[in-house]
Amino acid sequence: MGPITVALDGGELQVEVGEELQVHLTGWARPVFEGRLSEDFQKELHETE
Amino acid sequence: MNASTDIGPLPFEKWQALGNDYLIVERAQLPFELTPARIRKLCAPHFGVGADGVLLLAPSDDPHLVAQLRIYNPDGSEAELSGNGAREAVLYLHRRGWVEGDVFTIHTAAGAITPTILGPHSCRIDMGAASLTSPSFPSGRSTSRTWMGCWRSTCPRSGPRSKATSSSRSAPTSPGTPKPNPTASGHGSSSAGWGRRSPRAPAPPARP
Repeated sequence: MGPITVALDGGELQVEVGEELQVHLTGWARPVFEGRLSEDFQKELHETE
Repeated sequence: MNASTDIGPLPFEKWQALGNDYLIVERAQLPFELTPARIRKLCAPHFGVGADGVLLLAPSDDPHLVAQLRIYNPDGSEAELSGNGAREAVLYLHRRGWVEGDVFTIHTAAGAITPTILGPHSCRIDMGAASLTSPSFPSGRSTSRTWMGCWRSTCPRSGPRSKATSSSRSAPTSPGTPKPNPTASGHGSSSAGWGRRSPRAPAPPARP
């Protein structure tokens, strides 16, 4: 079956379902931010169990 | 000198797919164990970085697999698999040079998945075979590998919102040609939940 395009709030996703219910998903993803934790926050995390 | 300063500030990336945002971190760069409490702090929207979860990547013990992916929910629990999270992880791996080819396999808590990279921001993932059997639908058709926990589109402010059209040959909306629903609420606005389980195991929680 398919491909079927599913319209979701965040965009579209293409779904294919084979005869044995093998499912393939086709879609996108993208980076929005690269960074490093601040030393203060990392220290806070380190002190967290 | 404690462990938090031995490695230096933790580098991370934040990715999103269909509005489902994850922090991506590599285990080799983690100066501490990723405990549930730490995940909750990382994902906290105002007190931390803010995300729908954390994707933790590590080399796989199996030489045939490129990496091991573990997916954590913002409450610190572990999810078996997330379609949005998996796309983010495999595109990250490809972009970061973990693999040169466009077809490879990674390990997840739900088993191995095989993505095909279609472009810098697009991929196709073989999620395995679905089973329509669930605790609430025990008579559903079952296959050997996968349990389809749920497919849902959620909008916290106004309820479910999704539309499926068949026989579409066009590629899904890409970052370069955004076509989001203008009423989308953003955080956790849409995702496809997925779970794989053994026949006797309880159903895993669906991803938001």
